[in-house]
Amino acid sequence: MMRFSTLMKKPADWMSGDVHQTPVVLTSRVRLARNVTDSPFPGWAKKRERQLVFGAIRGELEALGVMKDGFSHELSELETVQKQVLVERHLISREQAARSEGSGAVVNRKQSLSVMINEEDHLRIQAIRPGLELQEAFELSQSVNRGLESKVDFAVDGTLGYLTACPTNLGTGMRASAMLHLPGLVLSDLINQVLKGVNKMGLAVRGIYGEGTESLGNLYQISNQSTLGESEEEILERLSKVIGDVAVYEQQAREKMAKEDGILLKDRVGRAAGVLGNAYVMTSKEALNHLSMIRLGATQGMVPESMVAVCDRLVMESQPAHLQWNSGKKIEPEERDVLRAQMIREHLQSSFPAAIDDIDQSL
Amino acid sequence: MKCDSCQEKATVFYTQIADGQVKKFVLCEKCANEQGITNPDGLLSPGELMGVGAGAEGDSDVLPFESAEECSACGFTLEDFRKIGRMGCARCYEAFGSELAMRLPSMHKGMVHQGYLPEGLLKEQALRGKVEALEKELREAVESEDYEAAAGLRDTIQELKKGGKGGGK
Ligand SMILES: [Zn+2]
Ligand SMILES: [Zn+2]
Repeated sequence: MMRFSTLMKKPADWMSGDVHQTPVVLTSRVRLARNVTDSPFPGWAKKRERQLVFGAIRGELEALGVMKDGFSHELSELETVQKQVLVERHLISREQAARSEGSGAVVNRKQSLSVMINEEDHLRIQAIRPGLELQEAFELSQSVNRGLESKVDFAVDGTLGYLTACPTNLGTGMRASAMLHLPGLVLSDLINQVLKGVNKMGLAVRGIYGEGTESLGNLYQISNQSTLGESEEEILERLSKVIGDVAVYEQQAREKMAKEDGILLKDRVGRAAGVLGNAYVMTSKEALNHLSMIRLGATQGMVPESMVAVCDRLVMESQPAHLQWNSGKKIEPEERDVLRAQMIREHLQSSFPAAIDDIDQSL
Repeated sequence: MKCDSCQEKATVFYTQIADGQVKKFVLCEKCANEQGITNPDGLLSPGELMGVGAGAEGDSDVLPFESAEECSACGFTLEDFRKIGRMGCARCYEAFGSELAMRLPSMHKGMVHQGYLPEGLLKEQALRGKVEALEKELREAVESEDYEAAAGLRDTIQELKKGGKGGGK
């Protein structure tokens, strides 16, 4: 079985940071909600019932070829910081981190598949792929579903489809989503217009970081809302089409900015590089917004392309639980900002002289 | 509560939707049976309960309403569902079918699952479709007094139903 420390050291295979694959769409994700027939849903089940379901499903999951030698834990076996790290890696949900006995996660070695047991539903099978690859993510999650359905009796009805704890997930039980980096649309003041259009297509949009309408780091998630009345293929096709269109708008906005406001764009990227390379105290909000500018610069040839991967990794690792886990001790919030600044400085120092040179040379 | 048709104790609660009008009525077991409302097998799928099954014809669908205050499988109550918007177990979908039917249109594109189904269920569904089509033919045969054809159809339906049960999981 994979240890927690191994999981931490190995970046997930979807964090490849290949700039040609992920200039706008960072990741695609599909999750399938499934429940067994003979036990109440986790939110209503008694502890004993949850434990029975957990034991049975965990065993079947670990036996699946695709999950071989993966990471498998009951949440009660993990420290708080470890659970938070899994949340920050999107491997479990915030809701699930609050649970303990009879609830757990099984993650494959590549971290491309994670199955939450006894979250809101008995099973939440999640697959993550880099770039815009919703269909591939669906097939990956479906391979786990197929592997389990001959061994576990899933609650499914010919008319209502898969029966889920919340009726908003009925039918396919499928929530598909993509994470997009949209600094071009934000800086051009086109973001609200585009997001409204996405909403009109019956899709949901939200910021990944930050509260309310604020979206830190210009990162957004687009997902389907309806799960009943359309096939998986229809949902994925519509979603892929809309996300693909948004990615094109974003690229156009970036190119237009570089052409018409090149010096302004260069100034933003250069300032972000200056702050990240020299600050000693940095909030997560500041880090996300500056890293967003560096990432933008990397896709526009202002800093080396390799900085895309560095940025994506730093966005992940500058989150509170990652900072605490990597520091190996309990840290106070103020200390966290110091550690964050230090980590980013250290990561960037090697690439930075070249990066700043590139900014200067560009345009 | 007393039956709308006689004075017996009412045990069956229904909502009828016809021409956009919602009518609620209560019946005793006997009257409900006479009016052909209850399913002889008592095994309607939650979807069929909601009147969205393939068998729903015409502009009048019969839905049970508040037939359960509580799910007999898990003890979750209708009140719980109204409060938190979630179900207690898979069987709750049968118990609270009509309450759910009112909410589904605002949540989803459609009321009937169009996506992936495990193989066993796909076969069942195909069989159900075949049986329904034959039953329609049977009704037509009876109406046109073609009793020979009707007898043949009846035998085929019975055979299909038997085969379906044996072939299931
Ligand atoms: Zn009566
Ligand atoms: Zn129930």
